Amino acid sequence: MRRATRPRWLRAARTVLRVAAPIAVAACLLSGWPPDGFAATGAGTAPALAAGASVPWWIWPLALFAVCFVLGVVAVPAGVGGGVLFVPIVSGFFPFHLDFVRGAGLLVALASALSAGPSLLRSGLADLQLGLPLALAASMSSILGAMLGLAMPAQLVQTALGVIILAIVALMASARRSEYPSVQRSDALAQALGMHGVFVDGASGRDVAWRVHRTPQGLVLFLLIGVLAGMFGLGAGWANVPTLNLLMGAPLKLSAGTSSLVLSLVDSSAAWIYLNKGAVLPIIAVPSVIGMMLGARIGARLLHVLSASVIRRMVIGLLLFAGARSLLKGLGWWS
Amino acid sequence: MVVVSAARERYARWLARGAAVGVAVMLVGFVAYLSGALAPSLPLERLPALWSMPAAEALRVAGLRPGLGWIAHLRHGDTVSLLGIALLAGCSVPALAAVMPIYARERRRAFVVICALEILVIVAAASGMLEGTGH
Repeated sequence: MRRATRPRWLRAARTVLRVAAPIAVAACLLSGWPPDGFAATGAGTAPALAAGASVPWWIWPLALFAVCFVLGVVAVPAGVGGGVLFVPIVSGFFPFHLDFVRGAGLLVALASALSAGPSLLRSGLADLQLGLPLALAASMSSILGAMLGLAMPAQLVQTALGVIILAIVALMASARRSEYPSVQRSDALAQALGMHGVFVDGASGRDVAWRVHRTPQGLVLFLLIGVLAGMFGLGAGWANVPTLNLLMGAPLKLSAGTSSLVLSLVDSSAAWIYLNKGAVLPIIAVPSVIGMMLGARIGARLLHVLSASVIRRMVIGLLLFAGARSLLKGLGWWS
Repeated sequence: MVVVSAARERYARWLARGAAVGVAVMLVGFVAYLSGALAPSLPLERLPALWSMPAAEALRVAGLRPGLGWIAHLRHGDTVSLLGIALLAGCSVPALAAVMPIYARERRRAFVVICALEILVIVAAASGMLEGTGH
């Protein structure tokens, strides 16, 4: 008898819950949740200030370095950028204001993209003709996103961040991926801009010819992605890769590589807004960037040893918990 | 066989150099900042009170101004770190400028314009003009 197949979303939700539940329980026990006065305060700074004042100041940058190192280790095998893990986790559990966390998050994503960019370009896994037009659209809108994000009340941004992170969890848990999408015919804009080429797939050793379609729709989506990247300091690999791969039909490896090139430009523009607004403190940004870069080196080495799917499930669980924490913190239910 | 285009190779080379310089300056500044070799513009003990405030309020309490005014204080360790961060955020500009002549030679005018516009976007963001913090 043929077993009834469960819907994809239900299987994804079960996977997420199976992984997230133990993490959530452990974290609640460690953090002494629920706190006194549950639901009494918003995403204000008083509780965080109290938490920050009860320990020597240097503990926080040190803890930040350690946490970012671990995030860097798991980010590479999980196939996510550091920024998307950094912002919800650090804003949820450290005493720093969300402005500084977002500024550091952008720099973490920028440093990762810059360190990977040159080798990806040389290997053909990142393409300038494909990436530059999309990066221009997203760079312009990321400035708008950064300005909006810094002008909005922290509580509102924290709530929206929680919603976005939970949406990313749903995307990661359910999104399809297509190694080599079939593109019958390029659109006129892609042809005019020469968005086609060949790269060598390292796994199979064969040359892969590629071209893209639906470029105008891709440009519109990249405008939206830029706003989100600037507003939340998340980096945007989680959105770049599905847009390039599933919408525009770029091969998966080329999408991931070109996403890195796009990020290096988008995060540069948004990072300047945060710098000029005083939302970058070296004591927060530098340990984060260095911790993440060192962790990513270890993560890249562990890539061949660890099970990528297990790490990916763990990261989805971690993001689910951090997203829920961010949402509840923003709503004032878990301050 | 895949041939790496001249533009891609040159862009990669400039990006790698720029990022390396940015990271090096950021690290040197940070070590000087923590070790006390260069005095900080903000005493380390004051930071916990500032990092839990919104950025605008923290600037006001610290007596600093938004924008690029920090460049005038490069004798401080934290400001040298900030310079390294700024170099990271700006290192795509020389890479973009370096590939423009290649695109011009290949008569790919659309990409000359795209590179110029991208440089303009980053420079406008860096100048502080867009949010009214320019000096």
